[in-house]
Amino acid sequence: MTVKALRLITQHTMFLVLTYGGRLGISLGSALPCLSCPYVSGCGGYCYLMALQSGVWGLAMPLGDMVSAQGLEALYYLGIFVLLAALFNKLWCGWICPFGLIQDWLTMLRKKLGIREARLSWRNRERLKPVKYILLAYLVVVPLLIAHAGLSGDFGLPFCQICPAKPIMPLFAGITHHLALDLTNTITLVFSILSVGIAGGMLVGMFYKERFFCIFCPMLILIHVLKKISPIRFEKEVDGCLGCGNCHRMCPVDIRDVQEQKTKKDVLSEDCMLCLTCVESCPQDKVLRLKFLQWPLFASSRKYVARHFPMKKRAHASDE
Amino acid sequence: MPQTNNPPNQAGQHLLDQVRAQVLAEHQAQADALRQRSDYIPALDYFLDLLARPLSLEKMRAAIGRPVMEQLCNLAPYELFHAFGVHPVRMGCGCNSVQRLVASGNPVLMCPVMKSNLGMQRLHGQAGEEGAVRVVPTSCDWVVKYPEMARQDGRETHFLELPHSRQSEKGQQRWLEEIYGFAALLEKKTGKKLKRQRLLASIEAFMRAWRALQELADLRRRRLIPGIFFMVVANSFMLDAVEPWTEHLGQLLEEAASRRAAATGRGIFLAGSPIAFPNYKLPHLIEEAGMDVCADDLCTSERVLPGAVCYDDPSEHGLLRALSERYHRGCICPTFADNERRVNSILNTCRQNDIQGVVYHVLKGCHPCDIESVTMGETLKQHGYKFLRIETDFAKEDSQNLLTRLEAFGEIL
Ligand code: SF4
Ligand code: SF4
Ligand code: SF4
Ligand code: SF4
Ligand code: SF4
Repeated sequence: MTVKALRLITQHTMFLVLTYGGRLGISLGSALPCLSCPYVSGCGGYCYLMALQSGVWGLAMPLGDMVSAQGLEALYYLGIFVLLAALFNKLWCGWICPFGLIQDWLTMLRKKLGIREARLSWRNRERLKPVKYILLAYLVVVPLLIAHAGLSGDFGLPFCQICPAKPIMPLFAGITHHLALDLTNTITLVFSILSVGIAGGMLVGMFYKERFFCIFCPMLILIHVLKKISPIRFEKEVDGCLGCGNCHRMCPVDIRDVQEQKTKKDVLSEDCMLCLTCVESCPQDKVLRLKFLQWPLFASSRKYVARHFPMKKRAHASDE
Repeated sequence: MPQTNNPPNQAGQHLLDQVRAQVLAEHQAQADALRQRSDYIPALDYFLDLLARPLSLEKMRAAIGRPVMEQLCNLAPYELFHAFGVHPVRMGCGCNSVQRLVASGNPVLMCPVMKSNLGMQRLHGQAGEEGAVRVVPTSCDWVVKYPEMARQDGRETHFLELPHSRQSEKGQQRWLEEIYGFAALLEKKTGKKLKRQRLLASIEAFMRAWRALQELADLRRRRLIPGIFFMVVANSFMLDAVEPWTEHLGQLLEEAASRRAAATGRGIFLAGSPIAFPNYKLPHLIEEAGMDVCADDLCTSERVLPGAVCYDDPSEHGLLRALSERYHRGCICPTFADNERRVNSILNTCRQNDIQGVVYHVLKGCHPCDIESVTMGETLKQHGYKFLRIETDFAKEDSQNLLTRLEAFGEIL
């Protein structure tokens, strides 16, 4: 079995567990390092971003609550998040996140239709990198303002208000009301327009550009900061690399760092989702590898490339 | 001194006949020498038969039943020709005797591969037939100037302008544009449109060929076949349609696996300028000196196929991009400017296959390899590998001298 197949199976299993698991009594907690959205009723676990922004276990918590038992509970959830994010690190993104899989479905559809992927120039790709930091800052600062500077509670869960997962993911549970405009007041109206607009825009973006949303996802940075304490290592034997560019071309989020790294072992870069596509397509033996502590999990090899590319068997073309 | 402005060489009919006989004899002698070896594998017959007759485009066209286009270097994607039903062939000739035909009217210190090619063209008198195009990736100066040197043959030339920097976005984009331009040329010449499914099928056909060749490479890495047999197979690539060639390679692999004509000498890595049939002087001398080529990075041998074309985007654009990058970004020809990672492939192969020595072959007149051999030697020595630079051409005169040096090299391995 290819790593790609294994990944697809894992992603789909996790999609079912995280989207419908609650109905079977499965609950993986409220501090998951992936966009498993609590707006999906009956889901099997909650995205930590909600807890983080909230006034119950997160940044919008009033000062008084922080020093109470509730503060301890908030710390407990943070601890769980840190543990989970450290343990699997970016594997959450490449292998588990249900919103990641939605994006992959759109890509599969595009590929089926033979439509080419939109390309970003190297420069523009670099320019997009800081956006997720801006979103993270927004996600952190607004709840703090609510708690300590008297900002209206209508600004609560500021990232959820614009997160494309919020209107899209509940559709899988038959919930459509997140697509409607919230006419309660101007703030809620603006947020609901933004939400639907962003989700629509993202859908188009994600269709034409693989994992388009992941480029902006603040969860990715939260996971990334825990890289240092993670047992998951993504390494490169730099003096075995030919610079062939497979890793760059095949990468869903156009990461150049893997190819360009000439001195350091560690190639788990900020935007990397550990999908391992680059490792699968690197033709040099053991140049790229994924490890758990010092134990190798998967390494690149010429033989693997020879055996598995092209990935899909195709009938001989006779379309003339 | 270059004399490229002189009128074409008007070799008389007598000279042509004489040279033709010599050329045939040279090819035959090399084929026979290989067939008479005690470790010969009969499944090699197919490949030797392809090599034993001097390449003529007309005969090839008749045999394969497809329009044939001449390409001067591997950098023009086979898959693209193939997707248009065209058969590309590289005139990678290693014939020594035919060089006589171009002895005058051309630079003296000319690359022997080019000299042979030119001689072969003159021998066959392949005056421009309808629609014949010569595809010329501008890899080295000799290749670039080749159409000028072959001035009397009237063949149309299509240059693929090669960006010598592969690691920059600009270089990659420029090459992709060349690939698009090349596809447009093929559309014009064949009257066909590029079809995505056909391109996919082509990629797969060449992928199968590459896969089989890799298996053969593995056999020689494990010293289970002599290195020279690998060269025979690789040299014959595209002398027949790719499908039957791959099938025969499959048979050879089966036979080789059961017979195990094991290599006897110490394994070395052979790098540098191309070696093409029938000029097997250096591989023979290496064997004679008690060594065996168990890996190489010659563009006529292990690099004759660029490798797996991995694509993620199966749209037409995605496939063309994958092809373009495989042939350009993934190529380690010494002609590139940003080529510091080429040595990595040698280091890796040596490390993984317990190879201690590298022989670097420089054809007299091959400037890219000549220049690179110096830095390559330094780097390899720093990494603890033994390194020998051999500069030669197709003539046999220096054989004894080379053998002595190779034997001395073999001793220190
Ligand atoms: S980066 Fe993508 S895969 Fe990772 S959590 Fe965000 S949406 Fe999910
Ligand atoms: S809306 Fe987005 S950020 Fe909020 S909980 Fe759902 S997935 Fe997480
Ligand atoms: S795919 Fe492997 S060999 Fe190619 S550039 Fe990437 S790391 Fe280097
Ligand atoms: S760098 Fe490799 S593992 Fe990371 S996202 Fe890109 S292809 Fe996937
Ligand atoms: S690269 Fe070297 S061998 Fe090849 S054509 Fe140029 S000079 Fe000749």
